[in-house]
Amino acid sequence: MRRIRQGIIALLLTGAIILSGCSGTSTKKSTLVVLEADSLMVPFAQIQTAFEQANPDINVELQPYGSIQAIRQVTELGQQADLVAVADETLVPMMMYQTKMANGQPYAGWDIESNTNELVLAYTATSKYADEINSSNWYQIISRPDVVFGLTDPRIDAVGYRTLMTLGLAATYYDDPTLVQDAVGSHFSMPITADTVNGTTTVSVPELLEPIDSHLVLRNADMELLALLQSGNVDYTIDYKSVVMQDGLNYIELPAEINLGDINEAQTYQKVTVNMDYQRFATVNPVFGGTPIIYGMTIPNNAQNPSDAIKFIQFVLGTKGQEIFNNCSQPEMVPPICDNVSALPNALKTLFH
Amino acid sequence: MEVWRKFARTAGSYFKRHRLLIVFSVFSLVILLFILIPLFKMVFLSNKEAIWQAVRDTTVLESIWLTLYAALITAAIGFVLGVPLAYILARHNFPLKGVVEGLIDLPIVVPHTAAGIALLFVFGRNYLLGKWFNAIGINFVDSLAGIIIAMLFVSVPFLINSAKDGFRKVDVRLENVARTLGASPWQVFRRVTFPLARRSIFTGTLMMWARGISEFGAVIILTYFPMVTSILIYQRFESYGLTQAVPVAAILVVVCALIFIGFRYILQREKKRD
Repeated sequence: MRRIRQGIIALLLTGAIILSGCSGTSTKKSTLVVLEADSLMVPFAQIQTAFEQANPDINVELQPYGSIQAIRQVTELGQQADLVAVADETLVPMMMYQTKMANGQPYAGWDIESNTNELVLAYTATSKYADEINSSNWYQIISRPDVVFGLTDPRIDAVGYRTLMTLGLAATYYDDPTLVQDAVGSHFSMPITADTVNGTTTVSVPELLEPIDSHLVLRNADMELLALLQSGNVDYTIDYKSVVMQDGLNYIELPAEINLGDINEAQTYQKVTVNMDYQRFATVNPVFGGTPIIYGMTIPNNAQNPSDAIKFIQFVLGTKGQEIFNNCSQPEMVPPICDNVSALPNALKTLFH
Repeated sequence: MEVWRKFARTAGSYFKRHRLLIVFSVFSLVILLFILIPLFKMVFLSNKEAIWQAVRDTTVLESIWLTLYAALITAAIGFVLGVPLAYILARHNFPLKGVVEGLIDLPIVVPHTAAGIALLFVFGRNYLLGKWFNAIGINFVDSLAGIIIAMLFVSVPFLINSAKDGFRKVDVRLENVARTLGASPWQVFRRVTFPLARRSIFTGTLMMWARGISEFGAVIILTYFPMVTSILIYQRFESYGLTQAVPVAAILVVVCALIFIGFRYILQREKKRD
């Protein structure tokens, strides 16, 4: 009996030693922690594969979050990330330049903007009125009371407030002043309102967002809305074209003047603003002006592995990286832009001349 | 010197006699601190003012109340439907019983987001059960019913397993005696089997309730509103940050601690009485 027991212990010990040995010898790889916006999951996964092939000594760890959350992981939860890539470049100055680390330095000092996306209206073959919807009547159909419209929470996710921007712009574009209220606003206990003054629309989001009828389904992230869409519990939702295409859903393209996807329409997009009405405890400046959808990347000042992060950014902006992005319908901006170039690491400065 | 040697000897013999207890106590202390320190830190080190503000916030109170009673209804449904299954599993053999017992544990293993999606494809508007329930006016998206099925799915294995162990511990001979004395199978169950297994069943129901209260992943797929506390904490964290999320979490921890310590106390007293 005793011998068997000793045998088992010896076996376990050898096993443990072998296992620890395995991981011990392979730790020569350095790890690159990337916090990414959910809508970057597909292109970044492909870039990860290609990048790791080109740099076998680097192990890329991709962690997807909603954009605001990705930044909060660094600024509030103290996670040390090497790269933060979000779906709205304005969030980096707003949330990372202004918040300071314990040593008084800001969490980030620059921001690279390289890719765009656009909003489309997603639906499935079983969505209500799927047989009659088209690019000229879509805004009327999503306002019908018997249709279920899915909205991403504008207080949490960039798609949410961008959907409100698109609807706000559409109200002017289609000359339908109550569009925002009919499609989403009046279906909450405290309504989301839209006021147009001199051609500029201001959409106001109250602090409390609670749907009061079955026309509207609110979720924290577009992923959950897409699951509801595919299971027939939501008829229509507005989401990034790249995500909708990657999921193989039906979609209707929206005019460039309202889809937030055309940098040349930046002037037009400025005619809408989304106001978050929660001054009480805002940690984000809760006013979002309409801008084109542009992804932003930065290396936080407390990154453990900035040198690999620089390599990753170079790869993303390089031919292979941009080919992947273009194939994912998140087309490149030519040329890419950098906010606050003077703070950029020298190795990256050469890219912005 | 002499005193010291004597003390060492006594201590040594004390240690020898109680070695198991001492070693186990040290291990227990480690795991206890591991559980308690984070919870205590959350409750006592968070901003008092913010906690008071959250205590007076009706959204928070309504959400905690909703979570508690939704999980309680869930536990009641689990009790009605799960106890019979536990009894059959404990008392009868049938083909593929091992497979059934394994399958019951699946909801614990499956990631809860996946569980929520799976439920959506059964109780969703366009699917069989969803259509039936829709016909009688029950809808599982953004409703109490949605919260309940999500909680039920992930928590009912705790009750089934606990009740099954309870029924197994009841001596079959006692049931047989009752039968020979003329009791009907229903009477035997009600008067003999159930009372003897009741502690395990009660513990299982309590575990199920607790598990329901904590559920997030499956609920958020089906029902964002009305908002259970786990989702409210998440939503506050996402939109306002840590300072607004922690007080809600702290209040939930305190409420749950009171409830569950209370129930443990009742269980303990019952045990003494037996």
